[in-house]
Amino acid sequence: MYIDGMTTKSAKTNPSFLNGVPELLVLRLLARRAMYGYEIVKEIQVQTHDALTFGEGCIYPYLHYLEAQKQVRSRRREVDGRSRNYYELTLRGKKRLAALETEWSRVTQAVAAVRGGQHA
Amino acid sequence: MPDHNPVKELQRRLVERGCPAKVVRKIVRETAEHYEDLQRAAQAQGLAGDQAIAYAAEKLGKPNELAERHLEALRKSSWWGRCPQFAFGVLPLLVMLELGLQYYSLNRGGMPINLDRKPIPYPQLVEWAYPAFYLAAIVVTATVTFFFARQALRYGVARRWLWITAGLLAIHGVFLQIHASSGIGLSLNQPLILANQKVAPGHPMEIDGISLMSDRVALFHSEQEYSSDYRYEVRPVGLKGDKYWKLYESPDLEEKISQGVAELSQRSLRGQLPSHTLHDPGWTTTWSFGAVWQRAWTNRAGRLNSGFQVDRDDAGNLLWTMWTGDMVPWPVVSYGLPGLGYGDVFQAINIASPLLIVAAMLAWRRRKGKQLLRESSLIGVKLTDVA
Repeated sequence: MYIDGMTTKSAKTNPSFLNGVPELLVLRLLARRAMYGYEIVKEIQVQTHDALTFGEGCIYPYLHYLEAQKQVRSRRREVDGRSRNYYELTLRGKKRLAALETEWSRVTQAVAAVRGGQHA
Repeated sequence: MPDHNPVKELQRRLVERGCPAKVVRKIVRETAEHYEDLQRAAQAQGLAGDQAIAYAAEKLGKPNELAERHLEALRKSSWWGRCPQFAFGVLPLLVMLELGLQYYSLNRGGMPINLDRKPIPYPQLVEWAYPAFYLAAIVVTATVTFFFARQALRYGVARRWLWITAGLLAIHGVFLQIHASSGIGLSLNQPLILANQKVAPGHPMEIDGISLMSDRVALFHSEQEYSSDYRYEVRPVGLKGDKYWKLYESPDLEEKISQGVAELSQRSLRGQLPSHTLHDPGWTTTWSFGAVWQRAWTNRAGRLNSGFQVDRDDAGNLLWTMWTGDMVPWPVVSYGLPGLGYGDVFQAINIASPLLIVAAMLAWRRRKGKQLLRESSLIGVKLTDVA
């Protein structure tokens, strides 16, 4: 499923070009540690140097969808006196992440090969 | 200060669109916390008061668009939401068909009782069979409707699909035959009146039709059966309001009819059957949907305690004509009194129940939504007053 909500810095990119990228990024971040929605959005901005940004409110439909697919699960936790919904990866989510990363590597290698060929 | 709160607006929009309360609570809580974080971040950047709130509201996004994204995610998270055409336009009928088959298989193991030779062992059973089977049909229809409506509401499916499901089940209710009769089998080629009493539960018309067709096809492929006495059967059926009889094709048809009518008249004189009228000769005719409806009306008018019915023969005759393009070779004669019975009321309830259930569930959902909007503690954090 593709839920729109991620844009590039230039905001001129065809949205379908990013199809599957949000899922990969969210699952990758959650593979490291449990996070809540605001944290995920900020982390994507920081780590991609603002090249990719999630619409602030758009992260939640996406997380809820992943939760319904049992790729992530949420748990209420209190940190620094504030209660938050923390999301963490499930076993199914880990498998999905592995599959997405394999697919992503295959695509980027194929694109790089073509681009290298152009310059050759 | 901005005069509206985007989280409350989001909540209102979700409630309006019929999003389940549990989902609304979770969305609103998370969005409110996010909104608060954005305001804190704005304040940390040096924005104050209204500016911080305006910044947070802008970053959060438009409530209507967010609500649509949430509803889309909810729908797409389930097969019910992804394929509503099949889930709510086809599956309910398949479920009813399957339940009907189960019901029919129960009916195949019915209870034959010798009515003429022995007294009815449990007459109350037959008397109560009609309302019992009608109630069972209503319970089944209502349960199936409730299940599908619940799934539609749970996964944020467009409301039109609820009404489509209810409409399909209501129409199906029209075709549900409830038939608890004491059939007095009368084979005129035999000196004995063969009687049996059979309690036949209701089953959908399509199953009735298919079963009748299978019986008929088997009969035509069996030379022994075809030339046997069973072919010339006149079967008056009578107890309470169930007053019709059937006549299968016979070389000496008129004679058999006369004998059958004479027999029925004698029974009527003896008080075993009420006085009668004959309806719809209807044999060797081409059947159409219009003819079936006409027959259904005749049946309805001809029975005191059963509702509007399209019965096994009607369905079978229609299938036969549709299948072969030929006239129906077995005649049916209706026999009974005109009038409305309690079966009409039961059947009306059965037809109306899906629509009533969906209306009630939507009303309940609206009520829950209003309650939700009144819950001051729902969000759990102060939306605008960030320290």
